[in-house]
Amino acid sequence: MLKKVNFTGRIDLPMEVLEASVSVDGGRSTLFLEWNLSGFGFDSAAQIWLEIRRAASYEYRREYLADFKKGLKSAMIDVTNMTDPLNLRLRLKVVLERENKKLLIGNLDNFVPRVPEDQTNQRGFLKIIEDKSLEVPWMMKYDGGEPTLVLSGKKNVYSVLKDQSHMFIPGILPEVVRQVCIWAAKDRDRENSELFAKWEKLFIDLGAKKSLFDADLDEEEFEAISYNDVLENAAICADEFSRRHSLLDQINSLYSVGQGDSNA
Amino acid sequence: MPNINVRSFTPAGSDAFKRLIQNKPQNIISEVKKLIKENSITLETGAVLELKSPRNRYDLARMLWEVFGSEGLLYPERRKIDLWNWVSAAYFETLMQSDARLDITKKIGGVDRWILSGDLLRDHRHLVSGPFFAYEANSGEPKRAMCQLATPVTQPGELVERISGKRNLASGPVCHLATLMYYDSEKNALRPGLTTPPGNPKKFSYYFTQIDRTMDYEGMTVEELLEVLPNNFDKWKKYAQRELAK
Repeated sequence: MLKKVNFTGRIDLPMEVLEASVSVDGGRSTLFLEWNLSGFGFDSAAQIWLEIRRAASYEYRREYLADFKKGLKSAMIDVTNMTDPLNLRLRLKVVLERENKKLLIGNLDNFVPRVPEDQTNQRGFLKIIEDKSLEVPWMMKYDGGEPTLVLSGKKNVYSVLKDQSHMFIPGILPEVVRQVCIWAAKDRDRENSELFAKWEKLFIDLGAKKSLFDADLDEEEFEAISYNDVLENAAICADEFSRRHSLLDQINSLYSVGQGDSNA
Repeated sequence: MPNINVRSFTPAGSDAFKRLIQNKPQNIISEVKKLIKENSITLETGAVLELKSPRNRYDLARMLWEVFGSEGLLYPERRKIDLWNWVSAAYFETLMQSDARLDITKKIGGVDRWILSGDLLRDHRHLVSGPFFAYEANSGEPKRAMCQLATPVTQPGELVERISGKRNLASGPVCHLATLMYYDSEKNALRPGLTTPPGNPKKFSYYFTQIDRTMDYEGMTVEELLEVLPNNFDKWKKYAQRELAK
C-alpha cells in the first residue's frame, strides 16, 4: 500500500487562506492582505513572510507580515515602486527558526492578487463602456476624437468579456487595435490631440510607419496614402499586439505549471 | 568615445537587428551602425549615453545606471524590450572591439545575447540589459552581485548563467554568498577553477533549488547559509569565510 510520509512537516497551504487585492489611488498603489492560518497547528513562534514578485520578471520584494503571537491577520503594503503593481505574484511563507535555520513550515505559492476591474485591461487609454441595447457582442465608436469600445450588456456579455482577461486580450483587443489604427490613419480632425498622440505612439511602437500619422501632410498628400497601405499597417499592429500578449500568456502558464509540479 | 542620443527601436527595428545577428554578414558592424540611426525604425528618447568600452559587466552596469537607474531619465522605460535592443545595437561595435577573440562569429554568438524576447528563461543572457538588471536587483549593495558582474561583457561565463538564470538566486543573500565564494575581491576577478566539481556553480544552483521548499533561505544571512551548505562546497566556503573576515 502506498503511504505518504511528510519528512519536512511543511504544509502546502490552500489558496483560500489568503485574500489579496491591489488598489490604485492616484499615483499610489497599495496591496491589501488578509489571511487566516488558524487550524493548521503552526508553532506560536513561527513568523509569516510575504514575497512579492512582478509576473515574468526578476523584480522582488520581501515583507515581514506578523508572528502568530501577535495574532495579526491583515496588512497593507505600498507597492507603488514596483514596475507594474497590477501584475504581481505572491508567495506566503510560514517560517520557524530552529538551530539557526529558517525552516519553511507553511507555503502558498504563485498567488495572484485581485486588481480593480476597471484597470485589468484598460490601464492605458482605451475607454470601455457597456451598452445594454447593443445586439452584437462589441463594436467601436469614435465620438469626440476618442475611440471607445462598446460591449453589449445583453446576456451578461459585458462582464464575461471584460472580467476575463485570458479571453478578452487575445480574443478581442488585437481586432480593436487594428480598427483604431485604420481610424487614426484616416482621421484628419484629431479632436482630442493628446489622446491621439498616445494612440500614435502605440501604433508606431507596434510597427506601423510613422508617415501614416504625419500631421503636416496637405490634403493631396493625405489622399495619396493608399487604403491598402493603411490596412497593411493596421494588420502589422494587430499581429504584433497579439504576438506580445500570447507570449506573456505562455510564460504565465509555464510558470504556473512549474509551480504546480513543485507542489506535487 | 562620443556621447550618443539614446533612441529606441520600433518592433521593425528590432526585427532588422535580429536578422543581422542571425545572418552575421561580413559588414555587420557598418550595417548595425546604419540601423541605429535609421529614422523610420527608431524613436527619440531624449536621453544621452556615453559609449565607453567597459572593463567588465559591472563597469557597463554602472554606465547604464546613469540613464536607466532610479535617478535616470529612462528609469520608467527600463523594461522596454525594443529600447534595450537599440542600446545593445549601439554598443555593438564597442563590444566587438573590446573582445580580443579573432572569430567574429563567436564574438557575436546567439540571438539571445543581443535581442530581448520577453522570455524570463533567456533574457538574462542579453549582454547589455543582463548586467544592468543584475545591478538593479542588488542596487542597495551592487558589489554583492559581483558573481554576476565580474566577467567581460561578451564572455559572461558559467557562473552568470547559473546565478542570473534563476530569479531566486539573482539577488539577496544567496547572490551575496555566491560572490563571497567564487569572486576574489582583491584581484577583482572570479576564482580560477570554479567550474570544476565538486562545489561548482551548477551544484550550487541545484542545491538551492532542492532546499527551496524546505528552507526560507532568502531570509537567512550569509553566515547562516554557509552553515547549511554541504561538505562538497568546503573549498569555496573557506574562501567565503576569508572574504567575510576582511
